[in-house]
Amino acid sequence: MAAERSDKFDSYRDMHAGTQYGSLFLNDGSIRLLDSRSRKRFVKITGAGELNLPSQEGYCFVFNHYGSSSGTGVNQKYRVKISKVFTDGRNTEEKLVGDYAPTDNVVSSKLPDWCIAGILNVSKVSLEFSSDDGYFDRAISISIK
Amino acid sequence: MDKRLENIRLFFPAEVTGAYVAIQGLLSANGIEKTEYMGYMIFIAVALAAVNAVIYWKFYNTVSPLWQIVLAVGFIIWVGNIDTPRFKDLWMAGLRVELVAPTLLIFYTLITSFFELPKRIENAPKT
Repeated sequence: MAAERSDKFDSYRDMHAGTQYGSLFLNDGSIRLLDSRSRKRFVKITGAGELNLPSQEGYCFVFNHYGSSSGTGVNQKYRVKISKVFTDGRNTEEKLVGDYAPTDNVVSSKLPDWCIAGILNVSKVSLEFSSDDGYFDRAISISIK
Repeated sequence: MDKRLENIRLFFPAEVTGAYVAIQGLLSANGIEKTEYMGYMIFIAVALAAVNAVIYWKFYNTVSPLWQIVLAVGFIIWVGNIDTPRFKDLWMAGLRVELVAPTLLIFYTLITSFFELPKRIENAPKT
């Protein structure tokens, strides 16, 4: 099954209220965290597997952290494993860990977020997400053209 | 609703309302979407409300703090109505801003219709 881009949201409010806790979004057009934190161009990613994205210098993702059924306010960890396959055949692996707090504030801007950078000469990026509560667990891959 | 919005806009000097609209256009011209830069536009709105107060004090001889508050509130209501999507993520008010902003506009224009607005001093320089 392929991962697909679906609904678009232009505010934290609509994104949080219109999707489930743990939903994954591409922040469209953002290539670094600074961009991502000032933009609200969330495109929901449904499913898992291969995701087709337009060619750009980086990609930023966020999770919906509103409305957890297991409560709010307690810090949890999310993890991202980024595997890159370079055009010359090399492989690299990078692991990122971040803290976030599930919230009951529908307009919260403190989203669990991260960006993929350094994709020059990369042909494929694989992402494995996970979180303490298991709601973020999924894997997608992006072919860079 | 458009007529009410136009009526409330006429409460304020055209330079002040024009400045807000111009900055909105500036954001748009720089690729910033209608729901982004909320904090920046709140700062702009507060700054313009202060400018508005000075203009009313200097050129309309409005020294009453009550009138100044009424005018400042009116300006913020006008901003909320012409830039509604920007404030979707405003704490509390943003939750129903599409409903709250027009409702405030209706009540504001209703209430202020009982009072005569301050008049510009004759021969006052144009702002």
